[in-house]
Amino acid sequence: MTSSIADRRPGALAALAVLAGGVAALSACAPAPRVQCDITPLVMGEEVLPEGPALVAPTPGTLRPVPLNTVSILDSGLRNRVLVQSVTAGRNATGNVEVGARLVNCTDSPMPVQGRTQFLDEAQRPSEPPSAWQRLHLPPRSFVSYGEVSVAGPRAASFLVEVRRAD
Amino acid sequence: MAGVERRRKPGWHVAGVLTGLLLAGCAAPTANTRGMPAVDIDPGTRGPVGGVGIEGQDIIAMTDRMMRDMLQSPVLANAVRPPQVIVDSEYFYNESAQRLNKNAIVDRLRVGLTNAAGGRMVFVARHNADMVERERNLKRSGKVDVATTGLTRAAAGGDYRLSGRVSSVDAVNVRSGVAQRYNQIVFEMVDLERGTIVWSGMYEFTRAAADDVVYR
Repeated sequence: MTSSIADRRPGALAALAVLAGGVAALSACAPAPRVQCDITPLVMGEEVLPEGPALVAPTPGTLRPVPLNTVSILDSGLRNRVLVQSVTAGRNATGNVEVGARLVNCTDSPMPVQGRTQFLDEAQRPSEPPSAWQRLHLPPRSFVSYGEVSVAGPRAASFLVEVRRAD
Repeated sequence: MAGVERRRKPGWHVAGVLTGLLLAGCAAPTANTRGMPAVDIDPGTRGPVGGVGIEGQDIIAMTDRMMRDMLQSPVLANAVRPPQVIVDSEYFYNESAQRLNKNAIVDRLRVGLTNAAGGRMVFVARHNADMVERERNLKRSGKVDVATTGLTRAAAGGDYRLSGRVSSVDAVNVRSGVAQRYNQIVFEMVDLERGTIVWSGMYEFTRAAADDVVYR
């Protein structure tokens, strides 16, 4: 008749159980990453559209207004992984518009994305061709700044930054 | 009869050889790969063929970056008197491991600058100096008239000229066959009187792949 380890050394088994419990408790106590994202407002459709100019369709109701002077994340799969922390803009000494956007990688993996900017004039016509796609490498749980500058001088009145997953 | 038999035998041999060749052809068919219909691709996006080197989307991205940066330079784009600049590939060197048409980079940069500068810079077509010189000679010899914009004492000289260098650092994993390349492209505008650098920009990226891609 064979006997189990529990039968032979009940003390050792109890010690192992205590050790495993301790390890589990310690891992639960590990500090969470500093960067924590909450995409609930985006998922629940609670995103508040900012006031200001927006791109609207000539036929009402066919296109949800796209607010200008903001960042538009094109890929749906990217929206719950990359968030926009800030958007800034201003004119430099040459009269061109300098745009800046700080993006956050909410995941634990590196995230390659691309960004470009469309500059529009007062009538929301393109004041210049869209900038080329600029590749950005977002480290895990980290911030990366995207920047672009117009070349059409005072003609640029508003902008729309577009971000997509890098190919 | 023996002569008749001798005449028939070669014919059977030829037929046998031909049959053998046909059968051999059937036994080993040529392995044709499936074709791909032509598709239009956004030049700013990587297509189905890609490697570790400088590609079309990189040229578009780097020239757009340099063009925008150059037009923020007070020396180049905000001078009281628009500077005369030369943007060609004469002093743009390719020292990378990749075969590359330098003009694809420099031409796109010049076109982008010319369209966006709006008179803030004057572009000297030094790459067409022979064409200009020939026409000037024809006008001055009286073989053609002086056209409408008048004569100048000399063709335009340059205040600043583009120089640059394409460099690369390669690494290959001999076990996996994965190749990795760091690509660095440097652009500089040089003062043609003082020899100083008035503007510089750099575009760099590293890419790894195991695909068999040939750049030509």
